[in-house]
Amino acid sequence: MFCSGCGCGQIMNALLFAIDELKLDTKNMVAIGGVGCSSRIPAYLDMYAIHGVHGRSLAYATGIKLTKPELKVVVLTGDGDCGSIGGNHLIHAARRNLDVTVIMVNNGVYAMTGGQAGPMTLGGVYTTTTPRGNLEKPFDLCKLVETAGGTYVARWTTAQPAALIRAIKRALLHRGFAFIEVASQCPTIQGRYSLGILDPVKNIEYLQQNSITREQAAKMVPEKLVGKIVVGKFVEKQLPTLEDSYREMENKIGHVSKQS
Amino acid sequence: MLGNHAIVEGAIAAGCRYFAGYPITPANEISEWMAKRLPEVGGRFIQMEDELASIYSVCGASLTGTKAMTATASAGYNYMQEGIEYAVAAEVPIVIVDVMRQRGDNYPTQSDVMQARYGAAGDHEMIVLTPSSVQELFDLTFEAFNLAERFRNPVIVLSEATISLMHEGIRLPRPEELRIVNRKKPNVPPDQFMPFRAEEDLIPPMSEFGDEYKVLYTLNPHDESGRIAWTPEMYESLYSRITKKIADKADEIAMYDSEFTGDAEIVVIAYGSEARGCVEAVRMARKLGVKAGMLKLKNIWPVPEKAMKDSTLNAKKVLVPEVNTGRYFHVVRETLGCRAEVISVPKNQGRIHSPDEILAEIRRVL
Amino acid sequence: MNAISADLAAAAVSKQKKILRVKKNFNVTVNEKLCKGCYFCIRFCPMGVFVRSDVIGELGYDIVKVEFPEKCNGCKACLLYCPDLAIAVAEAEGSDHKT
Repeated sequence: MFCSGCGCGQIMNALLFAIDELKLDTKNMVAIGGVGCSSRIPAYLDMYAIHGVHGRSLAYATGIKLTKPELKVVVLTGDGDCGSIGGNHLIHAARRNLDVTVIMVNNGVYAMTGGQAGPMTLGGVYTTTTPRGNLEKPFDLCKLVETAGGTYVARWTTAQPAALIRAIKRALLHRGFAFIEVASQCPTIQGRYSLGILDPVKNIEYLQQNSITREQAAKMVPEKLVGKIVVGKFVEKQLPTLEDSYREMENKIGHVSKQS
Repeated sequence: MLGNHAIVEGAIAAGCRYFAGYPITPANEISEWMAKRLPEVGGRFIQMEDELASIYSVCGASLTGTKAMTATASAGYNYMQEGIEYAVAAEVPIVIVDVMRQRGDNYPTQSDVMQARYGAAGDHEMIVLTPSSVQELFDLTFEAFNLAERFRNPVIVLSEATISLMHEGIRLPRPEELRIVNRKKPNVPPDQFMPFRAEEDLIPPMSEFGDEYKVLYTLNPHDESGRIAWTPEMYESLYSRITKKIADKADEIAMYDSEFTGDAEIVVIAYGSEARGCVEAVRMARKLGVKAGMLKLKNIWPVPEKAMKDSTLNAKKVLVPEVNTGRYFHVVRETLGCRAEVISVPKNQGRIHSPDEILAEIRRVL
Repeated sequence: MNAISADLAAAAVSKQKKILRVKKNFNVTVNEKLCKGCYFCIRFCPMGVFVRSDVIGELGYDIVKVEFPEKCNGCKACLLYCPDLAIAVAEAEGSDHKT
């Protein structure tokens, strides 16, 4: 049950389109959500799901992938759930190139708890815990995941649903750590507090108007880049996953794990 | 065999095939032996980035149908509380070994006896086992898996720095002697399956990731189908069942050894490594003609009420020696009521009582 | 997606239809139980199929209604943008005829 105009509904929609178009069997899928608006998405999906613990979704995913590698794991998370409390698990899962798909819904605030600032909140904006403007700078989580070792990294917004569906499809098929950041409108909280816009259509138009490609960003001066959302696919490469390393080790000692 | 290695062998004998841990003295040998042994038996080991990642990955592994375990020490156990709470709420069978040690130090202690039960949200039951020798580390870790599978609850094995790092000869049982318990599986088709509808023993059957049942395992209060349901009645009925399933069977779960308690006027109740000295002291006391008795608890939670009451029928005084500031003493006193005078004998120096010290205490209260 | 003016898009599609000499009709429905009145469909439909209605849906929002289904070209932008999975677009039976 999302707010009117919430990006979470669109992202859930995109995920369902992707699963449908790829004809994946949901029997072999597990969705994991932490805590927050976007983490509620797994509760609405027709598949096995874990929900309710803030920031630890990737830790669950590691246990699942090592014991039943044939399952496809999708993590639905938010900017706070993933970048703040779950930050440690994010970088280590990326470092391990764990074969999982992470869809991080970024609305720049902790919306479910009322609109507190998070690690992705733009500098200077109003939130309930930064009433005089945010004194901190946000992460670029895509760059962080890329540096940590993620092998599929992309950023889109809810204003590009077709591209988002394509990206989710590629991420689901990708073997390795796939990370998609989806900048999402949040009319009820972030739109109202930080942008001063309550109308859902104006919120999504804001995302549409501020989305730029990497080529365009390269031509812009840093001051103009503030508040712009660089979209596109940044990394796509094939490297051995964590399970590949385990299987190689187990083959060497002559014992094939029952889990492989 | 080293205590910590016995823990690993007990776990593997019970069917443990996944271990996630984080380095912490004095539990390191558990991780190291697991790293060596698990691939040999078709299992998987991983060193996670912290204790929280360890406990949550163990929950995830258990949900795929794998018996899973983590091990840590007192300081790391603090971190695992929410993970344990999740395992209680979603009824995930896991085993956690907590090798108790002093704050900021590695000396022996029995500090976690209350945290093991009342940690996490505190408002639930927990099964906590207290081995006192390397043999018991093997036996009770093995039994911990059976209990976890049966009750769909986390089970804590409270080892201590003393016994974990001690070498003692043990007898490894032959495979045919092992009685292994596995979680109940669903026996109805998916459209009729209610993942949190309990059978008569208050424990629901459990499906696993990858089959066709598709369950939502949430920390939020949920109804029998697993769907989130925030009604007062639902919350109360869910947690009353989750606590009752263990509380009702407290006497069945109880594991203990008792000596000379039939006519004992002074009973010593102890657990863990502390019990070793007490057993010896009681035997010495008997030789001197003192009517002393010994109740060695191998599980301290849920409280083995019947065992405590049965062994103190004639007792006038009950001694509870512990290596902490006197914690389980309160539980014993509450259980026994006015039956006998319950005296706390704490020793918080990182050393267990010697038999002579206990004997002196027995004589003091005579 | 860049913002293309709705009129330009409509003109291009209409020209395309004339050239191909094929006209398809589509059934467009809005599920009144799910619509939460965000109006993304109104904003992103290039043909102007949807309008705000004065009906309050089951969830308590001022929902949209399909006002001009004959204008629909089957692009399904409404479907892609709707956060509530409330819209269905399907080819109408026997609508495939050449002009």
